[in-house]
Formats: sequence, structure tokens, C-alpha cells
Amino acid sequence: MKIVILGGFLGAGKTTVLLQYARSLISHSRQTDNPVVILENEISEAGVDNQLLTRRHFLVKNIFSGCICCTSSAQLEESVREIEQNYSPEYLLIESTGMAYPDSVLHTLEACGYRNTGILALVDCKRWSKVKCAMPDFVTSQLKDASVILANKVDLVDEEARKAVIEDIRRYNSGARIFPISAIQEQPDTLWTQITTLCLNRE
Amino acid sequence: MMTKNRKNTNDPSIPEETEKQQCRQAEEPSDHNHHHHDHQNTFSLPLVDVDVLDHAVIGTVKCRIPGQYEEARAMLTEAMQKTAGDVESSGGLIGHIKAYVREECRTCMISITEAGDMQKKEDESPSLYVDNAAIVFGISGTELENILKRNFAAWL
Repeated sequence: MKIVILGGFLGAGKTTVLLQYARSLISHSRQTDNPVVILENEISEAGVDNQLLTRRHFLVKNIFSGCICCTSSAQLEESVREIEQNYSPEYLLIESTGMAYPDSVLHTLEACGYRNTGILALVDCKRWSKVKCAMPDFVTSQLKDASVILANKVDLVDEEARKAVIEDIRRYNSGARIFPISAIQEQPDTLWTQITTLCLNRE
Repeated sequence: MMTKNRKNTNDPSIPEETEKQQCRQAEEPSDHNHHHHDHQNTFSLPLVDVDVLDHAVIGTVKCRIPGQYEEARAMLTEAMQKTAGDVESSGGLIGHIKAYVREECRTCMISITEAGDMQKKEDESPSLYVDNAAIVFGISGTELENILKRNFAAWL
């Protein structure tokens, strides 16, 4: 089972990306039954994202009771094992809460023996400066171990700001591939294929 | 360890959290450890609930907005915009304010008491069911609760 963890601050566009990415993975999978399972971890009781994804006929499992990067790490392991046993998906996409530290999630999974795992992180270009100033440690943790970083919402900033954000992101993680995107637009399938390769073939 | 506090508007005995943060920068605790909160499988509408997690204040509103879809959705959008404006004018930082809405137009109760005998009670009362989450920083739980109650007042 290959696992991609989606990280990024609240409102960065994780769910929007997930919708496209999951569709692409499903279309390329050689597996007809349950090619992709989505594991949702939401911080609010309202459970907005899981309702959206379920409505769009994705196979979604939820962890509501806490954050999977800390208090619910045991539940994360349990849920991942359960998904593997019950559905044997080719891919598991984990959408962490916008408050989670994806590096902790990655370490938990690796400690459980899941090696084919990587982090896809998202940054909201429009709110980059605001979020970076308000939550510097958070931003560091969310980006530092990512294999791929999507600089999202580039349609909302000018060219100069876009370049500045990307340059700034490199300071947090010089090894990650950074793709500027506007996730509300349909992205080329080649992007998602590339992301999968980069996330799951870490050195 | 982070502080956890929860304020359910139905339970006034639960203490309110500490005073409003003066600083816009939300210092993350070095020992990152989120709380475990129980999600209710059953609840009665409307519901306003506020949780405090680290420096994040998490507000939940579940309610029903009567009316046709477009009209109800427009009212909800306005309430969410006002909420966002109120959070920022109170000195807070918006993490994410989002909602999932579903429409219910027609319902039917089907009742059978004898084979061959059946009663149906049709009901047409269009309305939107709303699950709204507001995750913000830099204001207190009480402030967020008041903002949510004010802006969603018509449906609470």
C-alpha cells in the first residue's frame, strides 16, 4: 500500500487538491476494487470535508477523535492497518487536519513499517506571509519533510509575489519539488503522476 | 502540554478560557499534543459548540435554514462572511471558515399497521441543513461563540 500524506495549513486547498489527485490515481490504477482509500482527519465536529468526499463517491474513512499527529497516533496506526486489511487499496491518501504536523504522521507510519510513504504539502500563496508570521514553527514542520510542495492559489497573487513565495518556501525545504498551481483549475494528469513518483520514491 | 477547553453553550458550568490573546502571533507549544474531543453521533439542532485547542478556537454550528436552496445558501454565505469580518475586526486570524450544506425538500412518512393498509404523510418544506466549522486564532472561545450566535441567530 502506497501512502501519501496531504499536509498544509487550514484553507491551503488540501481537499480541492485531493479531489483531483484521487481521481487521477483511480484512473491510472491497475486495481479495479478500491484503488484509492481516503483517510480524513478533521479538527471540527462539523465534518465538512468527509461529507464532500463521500458525496463524490470516494471511499472515505474518518478519524474525528483528535489529531492524528499526536493524541490519535495510535488510532492512526489502527485505522491504516484496518484499511489495509479490509480494502487492500493501491493508494491511501491521508488528509491531515490543517493543524497537524505531517512529519509526525510520516514518522508514525514509518515506525509501523510503512515505507512507501511521502508528504505532499500545500501552501496558500495569498496568505503565505500572514500564516508564516503567525505560526512560524507550524509552517516549518508542515514543509520540512515534504517531497512535493504545491504553491497553491497562484491565480490570486501577481507574478512577483508568486516568485517571492516560492523562493521563501525553498528556505524551509530546499530538497522538495515545488509546483505553482491553482487547484480550482483542472491540472494536467502528468502533474499528478509526477507527484506520485516524487512522493513515493524518496531516498 | 497544550491547553484544552471546551465551551458548550448548553452547559454554563464549563469554565471559559483565559483572557484574550493580545499578540497576533500564535506561539505554537513545543510539546504539540492535541486534545481528544468526542464527536457526537446524535445531537439536536441547532447546536453551537466551541472548543479550544492549543491556540486555535474551533466553533461548530449545526442548524437548519428554512427556505429554497438559493435563498438559504445566500443567507448562509452572508452569515459566514459576517463571521469572518467579525473575527478579523476582533483582532483574530481566520484559519478556515467552511460549511457543508445539504438540501432537504420532500419527506414522507410511510405507516403500515395491517397488511394491505398503508398511510403516507408527505411533507414539502424546503430547507438547508448546515454543518459549519470556524477555526480561528487570536480571539477567545467566548468571543467566537458570541460572533457565531450573533450571525447565525436567525436559525438558532
